[in-house]
Amino acid sequence: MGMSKRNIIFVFLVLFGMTGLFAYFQSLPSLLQKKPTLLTGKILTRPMELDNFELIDQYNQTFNNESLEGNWTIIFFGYTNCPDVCPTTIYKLAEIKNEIVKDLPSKNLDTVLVTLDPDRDTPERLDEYIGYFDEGMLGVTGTYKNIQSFASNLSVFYQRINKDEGYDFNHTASIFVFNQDGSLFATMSPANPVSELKDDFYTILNNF
Amino acid sequence: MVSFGHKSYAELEVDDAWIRSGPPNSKTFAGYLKFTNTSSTEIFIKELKSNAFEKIEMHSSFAEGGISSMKKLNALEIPAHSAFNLEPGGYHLMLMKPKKEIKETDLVELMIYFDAQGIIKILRRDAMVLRNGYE
Repeated sequence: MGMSKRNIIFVFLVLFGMTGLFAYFQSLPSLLQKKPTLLTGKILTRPMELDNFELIDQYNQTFNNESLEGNWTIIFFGYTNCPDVCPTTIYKLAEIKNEIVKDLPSKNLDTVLVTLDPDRDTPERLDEYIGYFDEGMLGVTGTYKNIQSFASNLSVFYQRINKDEGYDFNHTASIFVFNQDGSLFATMSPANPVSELKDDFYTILNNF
Repeated sequence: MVSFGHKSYAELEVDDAWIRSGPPNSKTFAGYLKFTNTSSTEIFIKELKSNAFEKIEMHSSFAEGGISSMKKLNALEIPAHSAFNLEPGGYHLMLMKPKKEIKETDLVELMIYFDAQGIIKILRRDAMVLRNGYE
């Protein structure tokens, strides 16, 4: 007499259960190991790979997925006709980067402004603007379509607001931190004090 | 960093007025200063003018739900016995269309029209200096 159907099902259930438990205990150490927390944002549970993108920097060089590989990269969105928040963020990031270069010489950190205003922000205009505030920073532009798909891949919202004279943008304020594989690793809010942002970058660079 | 001296005209004091310097060909600049209202009534800043810019607006940068926006204000209320700071990333002056290129050593004249108790319109003059930075 062979095993009844019910017994077979029972054996499978036990096997499944054991496999599940095994997998659970295997991953337990990493589940218990707490990821460091940030003061000004959060580290993603799992780094997010980006879709392919193709933009262009102020030196007319291609800026794509490969440009993010090798170094840690901070990307934020803005436009050069923004006189208040964008230069504020640029100055903050420049100060943080300068200190990291001194304190953690083995870590390379790139900073990148991606414009939401390709009409006015040509590579030449970006060169003029970025060069004034922080020569070490990259300024990136592209076609509407390419900027839009890059932004939407990062869930960045932006909206052009027409004014009596000219126009501005409402846009997602976050800065995006990419790891050396070019995957999105963390997001932060640049409105926070420089000291807190700095602490968060040290947390990331010292632990990963 | 250059700082500008403290100036006081009766009830409205203005300190540390500065313009964030910018790259050549910039059409807009941000200006910052500290107001103090020493009187016992609120003061409304109504209008600002300058010899160096065609137009000045009062703006507020703010983030709501993670979205950064800028809003134009018709007036700025300085409550009685209070200080009110215009600073990077918050309330600021939007200085538009420079009449000529502004250099680091320039002193820019700023006329502040304000209104106390809803009756008196007073004009006062201050000067702003150009400098860099985020605070």
